[in-house]
Amino acid sequence: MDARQIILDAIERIAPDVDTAMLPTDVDFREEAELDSMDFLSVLTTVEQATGVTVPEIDYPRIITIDQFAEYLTARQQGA
Amino acid sequence: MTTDTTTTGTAVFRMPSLGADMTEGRITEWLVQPGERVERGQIVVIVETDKADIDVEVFEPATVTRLIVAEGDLVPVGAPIAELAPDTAPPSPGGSRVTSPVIRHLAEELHVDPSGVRGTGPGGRVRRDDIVTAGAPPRRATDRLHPLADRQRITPRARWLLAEHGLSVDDFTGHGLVTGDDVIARAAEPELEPVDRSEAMRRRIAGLMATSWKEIPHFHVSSRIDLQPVTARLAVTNADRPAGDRIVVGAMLLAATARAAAAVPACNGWWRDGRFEAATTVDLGVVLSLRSGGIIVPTIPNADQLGPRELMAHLDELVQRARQGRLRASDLHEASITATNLGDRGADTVSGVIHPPQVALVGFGTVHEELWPIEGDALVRPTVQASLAGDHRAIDGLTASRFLARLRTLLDGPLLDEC
Repeated sequence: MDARQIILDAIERIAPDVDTAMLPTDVDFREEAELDSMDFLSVLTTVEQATGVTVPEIDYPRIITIDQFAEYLTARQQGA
Repeated sequence: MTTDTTTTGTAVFRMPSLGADMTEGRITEWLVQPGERVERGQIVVIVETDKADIDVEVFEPATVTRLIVAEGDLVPVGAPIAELAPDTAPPSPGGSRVTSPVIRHLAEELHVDPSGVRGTGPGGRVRRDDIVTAGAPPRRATDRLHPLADRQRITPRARWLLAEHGLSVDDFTGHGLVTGDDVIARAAEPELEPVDRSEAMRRRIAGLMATSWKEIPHFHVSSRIDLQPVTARLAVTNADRPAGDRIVVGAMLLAATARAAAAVPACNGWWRDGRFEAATTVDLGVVLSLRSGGIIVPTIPNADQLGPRELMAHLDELVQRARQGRLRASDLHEASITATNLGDRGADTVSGVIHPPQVALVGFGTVHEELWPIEGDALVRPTVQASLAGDHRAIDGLTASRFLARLRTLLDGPLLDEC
C-alpha cells in the first residue's frame, strides 16, 4: 500500500473525527490533526505494524508533514 | 462487577456503581448468554452512563445462569441484573477479599476483622472505606448534616448529588431535610432528563465545578521545573524501542505526581463531613480531554506503586478506552487526587479547580524551552510549570509547596532510575 495512505489511515484510526482526505500534506500534521504525544505514538505504532519501519525519536524532526513522513517511510523500506 | 452469594450457591450480579455520582445505569448490551462460562476479568455487559459506555467485567470464573435485566432497560445501582454460578464457593458467606497490604494494616489498626467485612470494591474486594465503616461507631443522625448547610437542611450525599445532577438547593425551598433520595427522585423527573450524552457530560462538569468553586476555598501554588534530566533520560531509554514501548514526558509527570502524593499524604484524600480523611492508597484521577469536547476523569488505582513504564502502559490503554467511549468499571474508582496535563499545545500554566471531595488537583502546563540559570549561566532547558490547587480547609501553602518540591526532586533523579 502507498506509504501516504498508510499514514492517513493511521491518523484516522486515532482521530476518527478528522477527514484525512482534506488534511493538507505539507503542514505539521500533529498540529493540524491536534494529535498529542500519546496520539502520535499510536500513529507510529500503527505505521510500524503496517510497514515494519520503526521511527526512532531522533528522526521525529524528519517526519513533520505527511509528505515528509511518506518520503521517509519509502526510503526506509528501500533500505536507505 | 459486585456479586454476592445466596444460600443456593448462585451469585447475584448487581448494577455496579461506576463513580460516586452514578445512581442508575442502562444495560446497553449483554456479551454473554445463559449457560456460558466466563473467566475472571471477562467483559460480560456494557452499561451506559452519562459519562460513557462502560465495559463491566467479572472478577471470578463462573457460569451465567440467568440474565435478569433486558438490554435497553434502566435500573438503579445495586439492582440484580444477572445470576451466576461461581466455580468455587467463596471463603465465607458474603465473603470478602483483602488483597492490599495497606488495607490489611488499616484493619489491624482499627481492630477490624477484614474477613467479616462486606467489600464494596470490584469482585467484593474490601476497600478502605469498608474497613473504616466497620471500625467506626455508629454515628448520630446530626453528625451527618453538612457543616455549610445554613437555611436549607441537606445531607452531604444530597449536596454532592445536587451538583452531579445540575440541580440547586434552591430547587428544594420549603422542603424539610433534603436527602440523597430526594435529589435522585427530583433528577429523575422527565423534564430534567438530559437529551444527549455530551449535554449530560457538560451538565455534570458544570455542576461539579460550580459546587467545587462555591464550597472549596481554593488556593494555588506553582513552581517551574527543569525537565532536562527527564528528557535526557527518555531520549536514551526510548532510543532503541518500538513506538509502543516508549515513555512520554506526560507519563513521567503523572508518575511523579502519584509518588509525591504518597510522600505528602495531606494532599491525598477527601474532605468529608467537615474533616480531612486521608486515603491509604494513591488512586490518581487523570483528566483526559475528549476530541469531541468535554473531559473524562478515569482513575489509575495504586498509581504510586507503578514504575514509569507500567504507568505509561496503563495510561495508553486508558486513553484508548476513553477515546472510544469504552471505559471499564475498574477505571472509575474514586480518585484520591487528580492531575491535569494541558499537553503539547496547551497554555503555559493551569490553576485548576479541585474535584470534590478531593483536596488537591495538580496541573501541568505545556513543556517549553526557557532560559534557566545554572551556576551563573543561562542555559536553554525544557521546563514545565507545575501547579497545585489546594482546599484551604484541609491543607496550607506550606504543605502544597512541599508537594511541589517533592515533585521536582522526583523528576530530578529517583524516578529516572526506574525508566
